[in-house]
Amino acid sequence: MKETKGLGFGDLRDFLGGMVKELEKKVPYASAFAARKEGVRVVVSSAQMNITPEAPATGLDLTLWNGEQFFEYACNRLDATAIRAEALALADKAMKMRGKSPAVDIDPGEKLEKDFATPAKKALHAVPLKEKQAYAKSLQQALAGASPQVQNAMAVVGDMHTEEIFVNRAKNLRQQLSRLDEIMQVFVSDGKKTQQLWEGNSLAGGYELQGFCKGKAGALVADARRLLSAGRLEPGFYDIVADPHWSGIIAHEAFGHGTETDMYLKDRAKGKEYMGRQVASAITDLYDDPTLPGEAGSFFFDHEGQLARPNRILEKGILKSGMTDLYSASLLKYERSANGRRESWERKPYARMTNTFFAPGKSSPEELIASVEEGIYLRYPSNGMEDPQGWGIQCEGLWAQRIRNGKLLDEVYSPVIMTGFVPDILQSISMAAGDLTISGSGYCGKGHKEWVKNTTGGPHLKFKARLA
Amino acid sequence: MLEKIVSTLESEDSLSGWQVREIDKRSSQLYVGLDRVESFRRVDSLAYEIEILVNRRAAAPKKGMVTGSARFTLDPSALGRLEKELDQAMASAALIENEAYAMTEVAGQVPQVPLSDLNLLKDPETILRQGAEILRQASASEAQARFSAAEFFADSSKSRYFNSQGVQVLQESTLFSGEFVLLAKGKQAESEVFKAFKRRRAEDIDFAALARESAEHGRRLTLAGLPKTGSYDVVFSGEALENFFSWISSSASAASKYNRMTRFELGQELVTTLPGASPLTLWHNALLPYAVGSYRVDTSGTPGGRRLLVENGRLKCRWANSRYAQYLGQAPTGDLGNLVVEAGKFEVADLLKPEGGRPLYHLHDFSYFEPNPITGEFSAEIRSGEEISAEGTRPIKGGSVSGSSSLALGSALFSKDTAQRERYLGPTFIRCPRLTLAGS
Repeated sequence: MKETKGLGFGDLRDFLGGMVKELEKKVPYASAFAARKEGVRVVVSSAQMNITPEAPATGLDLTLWNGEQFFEYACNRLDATAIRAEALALADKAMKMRGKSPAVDIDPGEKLEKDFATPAKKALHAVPLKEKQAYAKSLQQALAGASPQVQNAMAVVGDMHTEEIFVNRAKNLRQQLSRLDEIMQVFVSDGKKTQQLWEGNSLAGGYELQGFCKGKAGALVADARRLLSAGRLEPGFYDIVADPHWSGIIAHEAFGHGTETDMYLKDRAKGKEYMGRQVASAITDLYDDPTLPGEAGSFFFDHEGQLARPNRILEKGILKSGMTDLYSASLLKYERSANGRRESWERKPYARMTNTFFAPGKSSPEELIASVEEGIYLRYPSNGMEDPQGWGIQCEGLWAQRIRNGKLLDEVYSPVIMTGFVPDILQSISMAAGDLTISGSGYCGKGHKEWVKNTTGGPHLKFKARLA
Repeated sequence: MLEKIVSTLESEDSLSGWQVREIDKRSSQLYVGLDRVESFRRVDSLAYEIEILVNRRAAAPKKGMVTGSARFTLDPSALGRLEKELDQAMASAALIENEAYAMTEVAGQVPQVPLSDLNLLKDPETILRQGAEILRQASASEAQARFSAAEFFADSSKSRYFNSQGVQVLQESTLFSGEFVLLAKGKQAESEVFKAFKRRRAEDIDFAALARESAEHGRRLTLAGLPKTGSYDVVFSGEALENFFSWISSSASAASKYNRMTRFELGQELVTTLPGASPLTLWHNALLPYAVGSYRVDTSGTPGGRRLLVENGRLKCRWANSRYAQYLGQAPTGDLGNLVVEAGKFEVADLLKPEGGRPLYHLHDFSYFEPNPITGEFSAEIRSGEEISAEGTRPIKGGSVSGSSSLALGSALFSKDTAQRERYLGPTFIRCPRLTLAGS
């Protein structure tokens, strides 16, 4: 085994492979994960500008399984001698703490040694900072110049390059993931009231993807100004048409969190009891798919070495599959899906979503709106919160527009909150448009922490729910 | 290594200012689900956060001086690249033209504030495992209740701050945090109670009491129904109080003012207090012993302090780190520490009395409660509460409550009783007349 004192990130695959071998002389299963992140964020606003490199976040985890529980040692000091000493001591401790419950085997998977990389035509790090700053400035100026009511206009152009390594006795994997972020945010005021609105996306690939926000400043500022005179919606049950961004939040909060199988193990998710049952209307299909090309929630293997593949969660409204991490899949004896993800090397892996979306239908968005006699059109979602145990849902947003006799009225309410019982909302889905759109600008927390990048999406959907 | 970074920064003549923070952290983490431990983790990390300033004449047509700044972080694997990273930072700073500012200067002593739990430093793993066991046993002894899951984090951090103006501060702290889930069995289904906690000291969390209260709360939830739809008086308590004043703290931020995200001027009313309501008076306080929001110096090296921000609803002072204080021409207060809200004169029993033949709602748990920091509007799904009326008390869950921070606080009644929760010290109960509920 390599015993150099100071390891470079490039040395880690060999070192970790050797460590896994040595640790498995003491424990039934061992694995290792290492990550390095690099990137830069250019922010230009009406008041200031900043260029900030992302914190490098290099570090590793050594994972040991004693037959009933995991032990992990994680650090960012890549000192081979010190890491080896800590890991071997932890392995001894793990076996001393082994209880009397029957051993659960961990399947290391099929043998594979492979390198993966996000396809990118124009490498993000090769683009001069000046060019990224100039683009951010052009977005900011377009926002600022759109109306005298703009108080502050802000544009963010960021990129992230992540390199990850996973090693166990069967696998030795490395992936390089690249991502480009663009965000525009505007604050408008009429002297009495201030409102904000934002638009953005994250995409997997190189700088050739730049341009998502281009040409969208005028519409964003106009919508923000419209919110200055918006009142609050009268509470009640409404026929709703949700735009693809709202549909995505529902996909994420309703079924995403409710089918993360680590929650099944704690009896914290209703999904467990609804497996194989009709939980949504028969026109509803929902996927979690980390293989989607170009999407920010995509990867080649998860942080527990599981290769990415599409996972159909709902098929014609029937709950078909959950999203697993290694621990819950091993204990529940479920087939693994590639959902074992860490916020960083400093945190444990959980069952987490990737790209989660409702499949498209065959109608047009206009047909959905035309079918509503009295209802609400929802846009600009801002956040959501899951309740997998009670299967409740909370989604908040900034735009609720009245629909009457099949037409959108110039009557906007803000903010708006949607609440309800997940199966009730999903059973009420009566139409889906064909315009599937994935939104990549958000992050997902597990409860109130453990933030990971993922995307949500769907087409325009028509359903019923409680709004206020 | 810190010394090498400091000497490298000192020897760079083109820098107008610099600061570096060495952060050495240790974390012990325990994850427990139902009847088994899932995982125990130990995490060690070391990082150096560096910021440089380069002042120069503004490029035409601008006039005067501008500051170019850059930040970067080095972890141990990047220390060999210090010079290269510094060159890149200086190249980044050359692209930046912000209003000129300087690094923090400190006159006098940096305050001492106790932030560390010595027991947690000594044996974090034992404290985590004991906490889990107490929660398990206490949950098992409660009728209709069972333990679901818990996560515990014992973190210790040693931070050394140096800057170009001669400020040197050592700050040591601990943080004991986590979450706990209990399930309560009803006739038809189980209800979940989720509690998160965060303190500097382990002794400040009474796990047996947490399990007892959660079980009682859970039993009520199994009988809960939706609230009514309409406009009702609402009493807030519990976790909602931690974020209840977020619009106020945002409106009193120098950074928000400088970035034109708030329109309020000093002396102006943030909240118009109606007759009979509790006047809103609140402070920033970073010096409360063992409070989560306390510090010796903030991330810009500004010493912690205590400052009146809002008095009787009027904005008296903005909280500001060194940079934004310079921009707005005020004394720095340091980043927002703990929010201390002056108590009211009302007994809790009086606040929980319904009036005018209409029910009152007491809400204590939400899916997510945080007023919009820009507009002050709030909407949140109700996880648990009670409807209190002349006919009695009925547990509720589901539906939502909505309102505006400015209007709600102008007519709010604050309890005499106070409590500390994470970064909040203030009334334990706040009654807001006529908020909008959406339910049955």
